[in-house]
Amino acid sequence: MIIALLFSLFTVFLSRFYFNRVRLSRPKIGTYNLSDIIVMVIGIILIPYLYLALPNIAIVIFFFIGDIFLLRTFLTPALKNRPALWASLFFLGLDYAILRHFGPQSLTYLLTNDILLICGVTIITNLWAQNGMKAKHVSILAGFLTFYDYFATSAQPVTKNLMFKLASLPFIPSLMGWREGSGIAGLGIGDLLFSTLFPLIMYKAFGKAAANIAIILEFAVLVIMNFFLVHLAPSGGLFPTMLVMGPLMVLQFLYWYHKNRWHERTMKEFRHV
Amino acid sequence: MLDVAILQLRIVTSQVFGKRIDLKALEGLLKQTVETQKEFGSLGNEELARSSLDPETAKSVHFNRFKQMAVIAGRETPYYSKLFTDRGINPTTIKKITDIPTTPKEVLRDFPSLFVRKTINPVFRSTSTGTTGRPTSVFQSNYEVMTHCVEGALGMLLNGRVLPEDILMNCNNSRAYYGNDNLVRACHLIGAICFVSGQIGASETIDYLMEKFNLAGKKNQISVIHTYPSYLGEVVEYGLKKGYKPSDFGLERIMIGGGITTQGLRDRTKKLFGDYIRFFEGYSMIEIGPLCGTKCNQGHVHYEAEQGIIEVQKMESNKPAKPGEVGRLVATPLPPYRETTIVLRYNTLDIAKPVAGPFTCSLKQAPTATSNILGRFKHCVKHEKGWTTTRDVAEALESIEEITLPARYGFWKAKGKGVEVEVMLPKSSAKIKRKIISNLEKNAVPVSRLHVVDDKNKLKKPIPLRCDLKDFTYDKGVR
Repeated sequence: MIIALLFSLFTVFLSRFYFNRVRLSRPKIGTYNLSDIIVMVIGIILIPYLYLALPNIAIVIFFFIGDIFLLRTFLTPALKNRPALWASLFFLGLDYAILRHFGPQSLTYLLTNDILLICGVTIITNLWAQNGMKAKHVSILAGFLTFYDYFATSAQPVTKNLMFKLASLPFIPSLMGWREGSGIAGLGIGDLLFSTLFPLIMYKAFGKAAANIAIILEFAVLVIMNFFLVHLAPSGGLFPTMLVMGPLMVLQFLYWYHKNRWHERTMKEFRHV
Repeated sequence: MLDVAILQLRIVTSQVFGKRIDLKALEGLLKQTVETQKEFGSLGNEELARSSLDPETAKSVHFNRFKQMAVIAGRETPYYSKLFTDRGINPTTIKKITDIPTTPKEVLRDFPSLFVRKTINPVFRSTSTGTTGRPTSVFQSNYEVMTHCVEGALGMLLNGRVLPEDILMNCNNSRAYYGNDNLVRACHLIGAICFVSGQIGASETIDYLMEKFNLAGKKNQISVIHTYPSYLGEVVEYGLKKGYKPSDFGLERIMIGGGITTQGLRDRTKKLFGDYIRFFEGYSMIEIGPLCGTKCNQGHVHYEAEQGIIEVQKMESNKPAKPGEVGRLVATPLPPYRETTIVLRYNTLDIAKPVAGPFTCSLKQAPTATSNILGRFKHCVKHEKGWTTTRDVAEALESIEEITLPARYGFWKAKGKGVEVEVMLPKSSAKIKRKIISNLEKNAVPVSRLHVVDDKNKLKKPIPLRCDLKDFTYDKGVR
């Protein structure tokens, strides 16, 4: 789990580095607003059921196309368009070959999986942040996920069923994980996404101090939770991380928002600074 | 962001089917554009989704919309109803747009209500400035008034002409009410300050341009000015004479139209306000609004195909002019942008040359283009070597430093060969006269005789300038 957490921490800093160095293209008109958040909430609720209903091949194709887009976008600043596309295809081919040869529980496959996740999460969080997603939007999502994560993970087996379905499928990195004993421990893609997104948005909105405190608190919570789950109350299953992290994110947002006189920086103000 | 895609889809759907544009969708898109500008300080780098029809399909779509407009015109307007009956034209069976004759300017000017649809409720009458005689007027419905100002705001934001932090000064004559009102409302929607000064004395305008503000979220001085070229010339002439420098002003952009903007005017404007000044030039007229043209970085004027049809006819016949040949602009504004006062193939009597693509300029996505406007048909002179237009003479004169801005001049066909040109020049000399003749000849004006006067009232046939349509105040301006 510690390895997985270290990879997650690396993802957080990589996404901030990417945010500072790379300008992703954005539509001529459009910035994130409340209606986008509502659509995301609806998507978060419905998409797991959709994936559970769809045949595996459809899910694999969808994720393959998505992975190409994410990897290519991630690599384009360094490699330009066509080489980035070929590199993405090569990496996904390698990922598939490793899955077939070594199996889904092998360390090699977990490593390629984690690399794919690092690139994907970096791009997704940057797309959101660089297209104007605000800290208040993230805190609304965090508040929603506090309840939803409990519902989908503990009260209902949605997340569990989904993870079991997707675990052995290629191109679908659903867990930032590492071998622990006879099993795999890690951070689910949703939790990883949020742990990366929140500090990034806080960095843009309120500055380095807010972002760094968010990182420290997040990973402190994750380490404590891991200790609790492994040593004190081993469940051997899934834990709704956002049940604890969600309220923490909301409180942090309210604190910094109030400290900043009810104002969060726009991208224009961030770049000016 | 997703709502932007839905809004654009709603707008494009009404454009394709010629239905009234969904005003709420347009206002929503404008609001999103303002939010984007505020969040990022600039709009994004990806191009907006546009209908990308191939030329043949586009032509067919236009023709269908023209036909639709002609059917409505025949049914609901007295002028076209009589015209079609007299000439035996059935608009439902026309094969090409030239099956319908051009609409003369004087008919619209003298009988504007004959072009108003019976089924639309007009709420506003806008008039032109009338530089070629009695003003022409056009009626608008509430839908047109509302959509034109929202579209105007969207256009200004998308092109970077006006931003929420700007302070804009509108120096146009107060009688150009429709344009002024549109501009004020558009600025309100964008969040910029619009200050209507009117066409006051040059010293007073300089005074305002030097004024410093201390308004949160706004520029420190007037950053945008909307004016006519001749009036800008007056202001620049005054400012340069008084020794003002770019550091005295905060002007960044000039929106200019309603006359000939010459290179000489641009150069002297940059001397006063700074090299970084950006000019936004275009072409518009009340009679064909909101169909209008925007000047690109290569000097063409491009017209949005969705808004209407632009033709250029030969000067003395109804045949289409060839690329590079001087001709008369004939325009048809189409629905859903125009619904109250219908004009089909309106003879604007403005002169330009058609330009053929393919284009590599900043507005290549709008493939209908002409040269910059060359002047009015009424003022052009035909001679043995071709035509001399207002622009030919203006460009030659205003590039000469000794000629005060705006250049005051006239020209007419000489009794023998060539063109006689008159110009106002407070202090003449043989050297300057030679320079004027040389410049005119470089601009293909076959000068047979040059008349120089020291007072504009002594000009025999002066080209009218909008800067003479003054709004007077009691304030005398700069202390």
